[in-house]
Amino acid sequence: MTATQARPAPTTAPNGIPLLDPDPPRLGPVSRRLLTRLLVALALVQVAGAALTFGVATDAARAVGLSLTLPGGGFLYLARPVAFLVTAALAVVALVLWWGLSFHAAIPLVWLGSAAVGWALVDGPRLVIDRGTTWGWAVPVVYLLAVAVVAAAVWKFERRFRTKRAKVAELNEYLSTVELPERTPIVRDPNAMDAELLRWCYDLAHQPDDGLKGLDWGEQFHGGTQLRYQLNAYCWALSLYAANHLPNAPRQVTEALAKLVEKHTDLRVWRYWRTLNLLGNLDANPDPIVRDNIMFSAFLGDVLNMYEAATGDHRFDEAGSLTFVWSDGREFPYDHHSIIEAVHANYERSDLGFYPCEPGWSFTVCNVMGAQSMYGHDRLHGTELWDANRDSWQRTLEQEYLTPDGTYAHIRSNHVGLSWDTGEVPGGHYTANGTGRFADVLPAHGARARALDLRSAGPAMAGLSAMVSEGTLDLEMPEEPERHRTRSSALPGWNKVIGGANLVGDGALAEAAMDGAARQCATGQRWPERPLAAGSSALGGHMIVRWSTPLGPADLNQRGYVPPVGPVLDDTAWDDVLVVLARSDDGESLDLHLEPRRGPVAALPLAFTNLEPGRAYRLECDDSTASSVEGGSVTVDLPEARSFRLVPEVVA
Amino acid sequence: MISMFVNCAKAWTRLVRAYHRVTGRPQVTLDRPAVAIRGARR
Repeated sequence: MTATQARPAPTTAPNGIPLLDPDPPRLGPVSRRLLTRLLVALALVQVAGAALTFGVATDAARAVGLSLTLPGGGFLYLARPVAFLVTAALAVVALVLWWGLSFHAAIPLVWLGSAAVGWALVDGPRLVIDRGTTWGWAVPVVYLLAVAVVAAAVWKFERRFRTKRAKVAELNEYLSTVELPERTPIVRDPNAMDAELLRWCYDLAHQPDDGLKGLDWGEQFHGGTQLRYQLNAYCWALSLYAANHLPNAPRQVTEALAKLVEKHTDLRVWRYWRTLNLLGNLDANPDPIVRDNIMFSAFLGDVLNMYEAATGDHRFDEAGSLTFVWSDGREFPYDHHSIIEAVHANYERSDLGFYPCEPGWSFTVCNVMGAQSMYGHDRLHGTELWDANRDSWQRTLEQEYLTPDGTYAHIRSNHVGLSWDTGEVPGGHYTANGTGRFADVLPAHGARARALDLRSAGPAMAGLSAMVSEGTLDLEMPEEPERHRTRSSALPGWNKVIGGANLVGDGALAEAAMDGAARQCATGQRWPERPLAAGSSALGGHMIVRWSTPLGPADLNQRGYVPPVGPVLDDTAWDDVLVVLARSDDGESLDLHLEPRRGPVAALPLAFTNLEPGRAYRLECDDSTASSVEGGSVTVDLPEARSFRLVPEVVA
Repeated sequence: MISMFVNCAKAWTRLVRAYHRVTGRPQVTLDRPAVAIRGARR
C-alpha cells in the first residue's frame, strides 16, 4: 500500500457503527513518509559510522564512528565505560526533553556530541586504565547493542500491532451486533455538596482579578499543574452547571464564568508558550494563539463555545475582549472568533492533518478539542469551519492515529511520524478523548468508542450498581497519586465511577457515587480551602462529571444556546444570595433553591421576567408559606437555605 | 529507538522533582506571589 493508493472505506454495521479494518496498515501514509525520511537520515549516519570504523579505522576514526553507530559507542572503544553510561543516561534525558519541551536538537546533540567528545579524548587519560588503551572487542559489542536496540523496538511495535490486529474479528463481531443503550439523560437536583462546590467556584472567580488562589501552582509543561487545564476544567464545569441547573437565572453564573475565562489571559497561565516556541520552533514570538499550542488555543476556544452555549452572553465575541499582554508590553488581542479562526488556519497549514500542542507533537486529545472548537463555533455563529476541515481531520484520525483495535494513538511526531507510550495515558492510546469523546464532531466514531467503552465498563458498573443499597454505595476508594504525584486522593476513583455511571445511564449509581465521594472526601471547609480533599485537577474533573447531566459537553456543543423557557430570576441581591437551582421543567413555573452567601438575609428582593403577561404569580416556599408576586417582584427572608417555587395562579 | 522503552511522563516527573529538590522551591503550592501578571501595560 502506498500513500497514493486509496484504502477501501471502512464498513459500517447496520447499527451505524463503523467497523474496524480487518487488514489494517501499520502506519498511515504521512507517518510512513515521515518515518522513511527519519530512517534514511539514520542510515546515512550509520554509513558514515561504518566508513570511519572500518574504512579509516584509526583510533580517532573508530571513536567517532562507533559513537555514530550508537550514541557514546566510541567511549566503549576508548576504554571509557563511565562516559558510555553517562551518554546513555543523557540520551534518556534528551528524549524526555524532546517530548517534554520540544527540544528537537536534544538527541542529535547528545549523539553527535558524544562523537565529538570521543574524538577529543582519544589521547586523553583514562580512569584507572592506561592512557591510549582501546578495547577492540567494543566494535562488535557496539554493533550488537545497536542491533539489539533496533530489534527490540521493532519487536515491541510489531508485537503490539499484531496483538491488536488479532482482536479485530472479535471486536467487529461485537460492534456489528451491539445495541447501544438509549441515552436517557439523568435529571438531578443539586444537593448540599453541589452548593458548596458552586460557592467555591464563585469565590475562585471573584477573587481579585490577578489572583490565582485555589489552583495548584507548579510547572506549566507536563506535570499536571498546568494552570490552563485547571481553568479550562472549572469553566467547563460551571458552564454545564449553568446549562443544567441555572438556565432561568443566568446572571450570577455568567459573571463568575466571565471572570474565570478572563483569567486565561493572565501571563502566568500562558507564559510557558514562548519557551516552547523558542525551543521547538526557533520562534521567539510569545503569541499563544497564532501558531501550534493547540492545548491552549483550541481548549480556550472550546471554553468560549461552552460559555456562550450555556449563558447566551457574547462579550467575548467583541474584538480584543481577550487580550494577551507580554511582559514587554506587546499585546496580542483576540476574541472568540479570531481564536477559532487561528485554530482553523493551523489545520490548513498542517501536513499531518493534526497540528501540534508542543511544537512537533500532535496529540489526539488536543486535536479533538480543535475539532470541537470549530464545530461549536459553527453551531453558535453559523460559520462552516468544521465542515471545511472535517474530511481531512477524519482522514488523519483514521489513517494516521487509529490503531487496529479501535483505539487512537495519544501522540505523534509531526517531524518523524513516531508514536509511543509516553506514560501519560494507560497504554498510550484511548477509544476517545476530548470533553465530547467524538459524540458531537463525529457521532459514528463516538458510538463506536462508546460501544468499546461499554464492553469493559458495562459489567464493572453493573457490579457496582448491584452494591447500591438505599442510595448508598458502601465503599471506600483507595487513594491514588494525582498527576503531579505530590499528593494522593480518593476523588479520582470516585470520578471514574460517576463517569462510568453516566456512560451507562445509571443515575442511581452516579448519585450514590457522588454521595460516596462526599462521605470520603468532604472537608467541611470553604474558600480558600477546598470542599473536597483533592488536587485541583481532580476537583475540576469531579465537577465536570457530576454536572454533566442531563446535558454533557457534547450535548451542549451540539445544542448551542437556547433562551430559557418560563420565568427567569432576573435580579436580586446577588452578593447576598447563592442561586443553586433555577429551572423551569414545565415552562410555566420556576423551581428555585437559594442559599445565603454570607449570613441570614432579611427582605431579599427577587425580580422575575419572562412571566406570562396579565397572569398572577405566587412564590411558594418549602416552609409552607407563600407570597404574592407584584409587578414581577417579591421579597423573601432567607435565614438559611430554602427552596421556592414560582407558580402561576390558576385562572378561574 | 530508546523512545520505545522510556516512560516519559514518569521520567519528567522525576526530573521536575529533582529540580525542585535542588532549588528548594516547592513543586506544588496553592498560590504564588504575583509577578508581572498581565504584562507591563496592565
